[in-house]
Amino acid sequence: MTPKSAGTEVDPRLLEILVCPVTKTDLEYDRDRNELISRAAGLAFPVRDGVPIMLVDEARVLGDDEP
Amino acid sequence: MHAGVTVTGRPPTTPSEVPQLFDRRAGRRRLARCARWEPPDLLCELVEALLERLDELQESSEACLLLGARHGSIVRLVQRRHRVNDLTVLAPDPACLANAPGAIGDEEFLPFADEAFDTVLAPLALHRVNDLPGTLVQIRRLLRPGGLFLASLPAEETLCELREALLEAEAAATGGATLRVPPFADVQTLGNLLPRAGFTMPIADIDRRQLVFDGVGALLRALGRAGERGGLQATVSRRLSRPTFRQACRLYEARYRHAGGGIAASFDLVTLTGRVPPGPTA
Repeated sequence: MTPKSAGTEVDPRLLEILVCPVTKTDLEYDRDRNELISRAAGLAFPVRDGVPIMLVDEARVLGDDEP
Repeated sequence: MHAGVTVTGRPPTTPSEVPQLFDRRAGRRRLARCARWEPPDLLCELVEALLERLDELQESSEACLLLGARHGSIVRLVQRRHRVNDLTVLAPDPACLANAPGAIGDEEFLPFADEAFDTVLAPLALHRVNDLPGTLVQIRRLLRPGGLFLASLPAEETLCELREALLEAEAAATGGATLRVPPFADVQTLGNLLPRAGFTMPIADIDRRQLVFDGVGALLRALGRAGERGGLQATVSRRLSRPTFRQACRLYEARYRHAGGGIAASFDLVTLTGRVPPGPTA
């Protein structure tokens, strides 16, 4: 894993307009895990070097025990 | 059409009953691999043409979304236009973003909020989606009132010579044929999809060209470097045997020899223009 640094944050203006590609609902930005979380779809989309990877086949399925 | 040619292998259907002709994941990976090469001249030309039309039609475009940014140089072409101030890019691979703000995604599952953009540009981005009507509805929703959508895509008789040669050679060898060159919509159908998706003032114009290649091999190499080979679902396209492929090349080269040498290939390129009505949309 690459360490988190200022350069790996998602552009704040981009963050404002990004939604879940499946449900079109809002995303939560988990800065610690570098993921954009769609509660509605139960998916976590990875952010790599500040670039959100908004692909269902690359997303992590949220576990039942995750808040 | 050729009598006796049947298309075997039914594509699977999703719950929404949209045939899944294209393997979107494989297609995206193919485009990502092509990103390191120079983009095809034709793609650059189509991007320039869309930007020119944007200049004609839109006084200013604050927020612009570029779909199908398959090369960094395409992003830079759009960035150079001073009227595009705030560019967001959807690309198949991070290498294609050219440091512009953007995301990696699938044009069929757009990850952007409603009314986020004034302009959506889609140069050669939509001809391999499985659900084009649904994708157009998604694009319309991304646009603000008064927003503009511009796309270019291959249509109609594009690569018809190659399709014919492959179908005929395969049918002669096996008695059936699978899909090899993807089907392309006709210009009227494309034009009709725009109002169905909620666009007004729809325009669909077509530019018919014959491009010349040294041979079938050269044509396939050019398509491969553009990321435009394969990408069909394995269920609808089986591998062709070498002798059958050679027979297809012979058929093509015998029938579509170009007068000045080489072979001719049709490219029918459609430009779509659609607007979102000013004021509140339904």
